[in-house]
Amino acid sequence: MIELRDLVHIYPNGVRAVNNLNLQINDSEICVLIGPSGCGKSTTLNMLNKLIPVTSGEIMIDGHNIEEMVTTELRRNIGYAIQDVALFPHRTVAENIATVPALKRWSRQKINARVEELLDLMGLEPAQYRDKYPIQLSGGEQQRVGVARALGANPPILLMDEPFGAIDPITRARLQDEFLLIQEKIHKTIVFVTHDIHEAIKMGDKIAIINEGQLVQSGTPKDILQNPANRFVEEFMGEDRHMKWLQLILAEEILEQQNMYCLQTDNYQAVLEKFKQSRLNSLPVVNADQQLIGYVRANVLKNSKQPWDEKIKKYDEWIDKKTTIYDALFALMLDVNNYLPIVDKRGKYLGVITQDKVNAILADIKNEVKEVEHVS
Amino acid sequence: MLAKIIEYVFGNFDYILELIVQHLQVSITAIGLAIAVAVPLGILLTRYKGMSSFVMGFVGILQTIPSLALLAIMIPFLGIGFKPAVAALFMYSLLPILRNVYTGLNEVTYTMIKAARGMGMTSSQIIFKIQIPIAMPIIIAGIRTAAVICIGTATLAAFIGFGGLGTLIYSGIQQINEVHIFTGAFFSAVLALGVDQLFNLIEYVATPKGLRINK
Repeated sequence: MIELRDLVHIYPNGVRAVNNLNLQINDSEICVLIGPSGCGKSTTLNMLNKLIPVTSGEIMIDGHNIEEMVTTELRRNIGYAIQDVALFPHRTVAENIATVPALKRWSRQKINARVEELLDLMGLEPAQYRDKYPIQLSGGEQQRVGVARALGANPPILLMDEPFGAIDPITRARLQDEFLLIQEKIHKTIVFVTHDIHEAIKMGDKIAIINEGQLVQSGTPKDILQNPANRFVEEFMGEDRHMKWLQLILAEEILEQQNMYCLQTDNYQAVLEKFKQSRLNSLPVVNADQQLIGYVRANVLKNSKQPWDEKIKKYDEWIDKKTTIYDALFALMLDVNNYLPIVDKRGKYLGVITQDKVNAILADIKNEVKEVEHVS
Repeated sequence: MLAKIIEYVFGNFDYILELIVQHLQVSITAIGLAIAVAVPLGILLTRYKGMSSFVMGFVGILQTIPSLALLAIMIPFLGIGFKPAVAALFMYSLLPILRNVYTGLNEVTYTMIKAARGMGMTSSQIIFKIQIPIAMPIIIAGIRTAAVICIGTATLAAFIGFGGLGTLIYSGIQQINEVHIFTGAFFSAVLALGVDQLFNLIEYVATPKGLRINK
């Protein structure tokens, strides 16, 4: 557990960058520090590994004040990943990841095993990536290696300063998803700085909103969306903060029609029968391995003399079960079928999310918002 | 003419070889001393940036003194021969090396140093394991420039009573002997080009692979 108590940092020019900040970060949680630029969030993060000194107040890690710890030792036991990644260009991927283990004088064997493990964890084939140099990697791959390097010596705590900041939105979303899956395995205590509210809602178990060096509000994303502490938080969450609730719901949570699909091997009668049971006007089609291959429309089917499976069309969009409704919204609203098929990581069909269902959720949110506003 | 030169070279091979050895001796000594002073000084200056413009300025002034004059100025202090020659060449070599060490080390971005520090590297680990390897091509390039300047300027050392290939040129001018002049000039040029090529190789070997390869 990390505790920040009355934390203050005053710059040499007298500016109080961090001003009596109190915050508790529990084990194995991702705590996102967010706020407008210059609010002190990065300063706070950098005080945790003593890159920026504490002017007054204290930082306790598992009950020990960091001021009493040897600086290099403290840093070697806290993972550190930053926006610019800053991989060392003269070192291979393996050597970069081994930075902290080497500083800790691990044996060669232990280091090699750890590098292999981390590359695997990051989804980078060790044999292919181990001996590459940073210049040979794409932006996304560099970010992954940067995270692997931060995890090098298996530190219990990870500091991430806008780690996915400098890459394109699509790669960023993928890295965020990957990282959440990784966190499910590694359970690190993570302090994560961002200025992107979407990222905060997506990544955070806890969000700490900071303004002018002070904690304005902290809580789960849901808490903060539902009960913003003041006008500042409300505005910071954005005009569409109610819509952001949709970020808290994953596609797999509102699945419908799990068993309503056609097998490629079904005969015409069976397909017609399924249409009678379903209220969708088109049905997903899967192959023998349950892989989604496309859809077939009811009206096309009725007027056809050809075998039905020649009428299968490919979906424009299908999404992973871990996608948030917010991220799926655009594709869902544009889809001709009025629903989106959901698949798992291996492309296996799981069900659909429908426009009707999402509309119902939006209506609920609207009502709740009205109630809240009525009360206040 | 060419036949005369060839004849001279073969007739006086031992003498010419001796001059080449002297020439290299004085250059290598001067460069060695310059490296020993400029590299640590450059590292120090990255720590005390306020000092850098002052120190660079001073070393820069040394560079602007005409080479013959610099050699002559040394005589009252160090007499004639090897010592004043080394001292003058040393002063000439300082600037290119110092400047490149300083810029090379500064080339390593602040964020990279911050990342290294944040992972628990000590200051000297950051200099020796991160900054110097990354700056290596630039540092070597500075030493290379200094070495070529040294070889060239060392020919002038003959005027203050030191040997080297300048001796041939000097005596050639005095005796109006073209063969001597050309022989001296030819071998100093070969030496300068050879040193340049040698540093090409050193630069390649000393550059970390990750900085050498392209995508």
